[in-house]
Amino acid sequence: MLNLSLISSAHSAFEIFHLSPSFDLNLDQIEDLYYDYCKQVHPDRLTDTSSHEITAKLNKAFQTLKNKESRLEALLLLAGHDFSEGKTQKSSTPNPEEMELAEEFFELQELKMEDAPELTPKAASFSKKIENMLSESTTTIYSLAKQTNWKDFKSSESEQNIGKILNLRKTLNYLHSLQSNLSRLLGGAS
Amino acid sequence: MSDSTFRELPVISAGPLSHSPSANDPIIGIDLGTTNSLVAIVDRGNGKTVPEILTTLEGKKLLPSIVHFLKDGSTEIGFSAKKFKVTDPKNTIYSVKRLLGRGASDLSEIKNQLPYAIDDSSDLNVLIEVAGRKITPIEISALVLEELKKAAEEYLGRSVEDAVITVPAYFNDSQRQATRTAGRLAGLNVLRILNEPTAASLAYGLERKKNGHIAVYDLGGGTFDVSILKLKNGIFEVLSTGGDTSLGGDDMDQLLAEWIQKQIPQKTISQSTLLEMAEKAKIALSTVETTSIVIENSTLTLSRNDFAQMITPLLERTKKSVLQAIRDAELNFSDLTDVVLVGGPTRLEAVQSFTEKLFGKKPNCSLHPDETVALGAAVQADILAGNNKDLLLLDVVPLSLGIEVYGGTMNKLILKNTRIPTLAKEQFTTYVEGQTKVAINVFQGEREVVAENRKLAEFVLHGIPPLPAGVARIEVTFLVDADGILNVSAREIYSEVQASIEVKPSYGLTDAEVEKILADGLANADQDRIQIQVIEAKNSAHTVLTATEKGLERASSLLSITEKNDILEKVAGLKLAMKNNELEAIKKSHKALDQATVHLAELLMTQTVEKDLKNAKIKNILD
Repeated sequence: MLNLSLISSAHSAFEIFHLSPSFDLNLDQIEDLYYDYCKQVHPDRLTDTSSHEITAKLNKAFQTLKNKESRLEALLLLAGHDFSEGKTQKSSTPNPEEMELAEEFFELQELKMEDAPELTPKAASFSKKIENMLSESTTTIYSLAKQTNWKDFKSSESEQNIGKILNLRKTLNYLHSLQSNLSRLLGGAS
Repeated sequence: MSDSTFRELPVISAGPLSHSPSANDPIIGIDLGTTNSLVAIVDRGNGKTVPEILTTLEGKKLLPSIVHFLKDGSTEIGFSAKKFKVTDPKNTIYSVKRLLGRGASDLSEIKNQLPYAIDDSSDLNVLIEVAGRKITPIEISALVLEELKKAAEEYLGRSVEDAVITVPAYFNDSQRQATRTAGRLAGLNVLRILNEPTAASLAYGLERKKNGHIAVYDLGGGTFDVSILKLKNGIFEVLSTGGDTSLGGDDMDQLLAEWIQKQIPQKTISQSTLLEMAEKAKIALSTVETTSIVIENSTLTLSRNDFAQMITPLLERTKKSVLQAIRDAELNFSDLTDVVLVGGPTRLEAVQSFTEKLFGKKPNCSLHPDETVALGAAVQADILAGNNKDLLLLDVVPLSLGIEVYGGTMNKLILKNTRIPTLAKEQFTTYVEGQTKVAINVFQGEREVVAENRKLAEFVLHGIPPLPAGVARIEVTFLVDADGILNVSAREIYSEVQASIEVKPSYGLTDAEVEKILADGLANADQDRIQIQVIEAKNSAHTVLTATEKGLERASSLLSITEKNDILEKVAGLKLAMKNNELEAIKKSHKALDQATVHLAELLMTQTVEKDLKNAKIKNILD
């Protein structure tokens, strides 16, 4: 029998599933364990008022591990970087790459004001470029996350990786904001 | 922070979160449909292990969800009521599920399609005017449920208290609440509100016992649902769900009725006669290629093909929901191992060929489309009774839940397709110096602007001590339970001054109204609203009295004698007003007490803050 207080007192999704923190997980195994837990604590099985809350916590933990983005955020949180609401990273000075993109976007804004015909093709290629950068940065983030030893996040190698991940996430944020600015510029839905 | 300030308030939930029936009590499964309802059970008492549909008191499997009101106020339910649809349309109430848990603003279209009178002067509760009185859709549904309960009792030869009732997966919180309330009014303890497509998958999966992904396409009389499920070793996990609560067989009848009228523009035919003919023709077309409609001396001919073309726009509307559900499940059409059709209209050849083309796969029709949902409800009831230990359902919330934030935008706290039960926390604070109340509006829906979504309820947090803007911190917890119903609780993080919650459900009946109806019987439901308000005013006054007494215990030495006497006098005044059951007096005395205790609340707040700071210092030293 599963110990209920184990779930309610657990601090991370990893702890609930008895895993040491890692990005590379055997999701099939976790799913089986999740199902097994559900069969014990779900309100359909356990007629205890706490079962709703405990199952809610279990559901959240499973979802956190299943989704790559939330899994990464859970690992970053363990390493002391909180991304929960209201605690987003402070924006720093843009790096040269971001400056370049900003200039390109500025040009597009001018073309829009002039109602220039070359806006459409230029915007399309700009959009493509952002998309490529987005997928490239995402791939790099996940491969760095895989290489990182999250158990020992204070080691210099881990710290270096985490630093890179944090920087890339800033770039991602910037790219996303550019993407929505672009669609607004082109008159699409914001 | 003491735990006593955490007020677990199942405020918009009508009943307790969990209930454990004793092992031998029978639990029935009910499909409360727009057109027909059914009751089923896994009759363990008689050694059965598979679900079966129970016959009604009329000796049929189906109970038409229709109530006919006679002149003397008595009612007939089922086929005996259906007979009066044409001859006594004003007193024959049907398709009430389309009104359940909805407000006047939702009903502008539906209202014109129904031949009985609807009073939508109050957006809170739509009322049906019948046989000289006004009655809510919830009470009509309760009559249908009561009839099914009687049928089950007759069959089992013993009383039945517990039930699982199904709802369309796409039903929002108000509609689920309304269904649960209807169950309560019918004398049923509703152990679970279950999604219809999920129930269907249980009935279906039980038969097949194979792992894979199934899509349930559930087109009923008034609603359309689609759910994508993963079946693995007895676990039925809903991955996504979608649908349309105003799309079903009724709309097909409506289109067909319009078509008939158009063919014979010179004749005036009542809406109920037209609908009757339309329904007959529709049913005929599921077995024959062409059918004739005879009206007085004219004969119209309608082929399957004509009808298929007529309803294509309706079916096209289901396509969007299906695509979205598959995307939300992060699957492709090719991942689906089975497609299951549920609901009467799926017997139509037009619907079957449409779905075959849409899914690229022949849909499974091995189960009776009318019975699948009730059978599944009985399976779930059996699971809740502690049997069938290998099976478990894991369901999701169909629509996002959120609160209104500055500028009328929706701040989503729980996203749609999140597995239930689920929990979300949010902190609130004050915007104005000295503010003692915060109003929180809860909405459900996918749109960014709250005005486009469904308002579920308005919460008012009371008793916040007057402080500079932004200092008070109230943590509100939203819990969506296994029924898909929202429960809210609140606690003040910073002080021990209690923050209380007052809820105004936007639709449906309040707990006090339900109690009143249960006490008085259904007949007097539209009266005595004042008395209900008195009960609510007393409840809220009681909270303030308790808080005041607690506060005086802790801080009376800091108050001047004049202040203390003033408070005691106001307390006595409020108690007297409560004793006399005078609504206006209770409200007035409550307000007076609120004003008299402002200073007391401030003192308590300062006390707590100082204590907090002291604790913090000690803690720092210890660290």
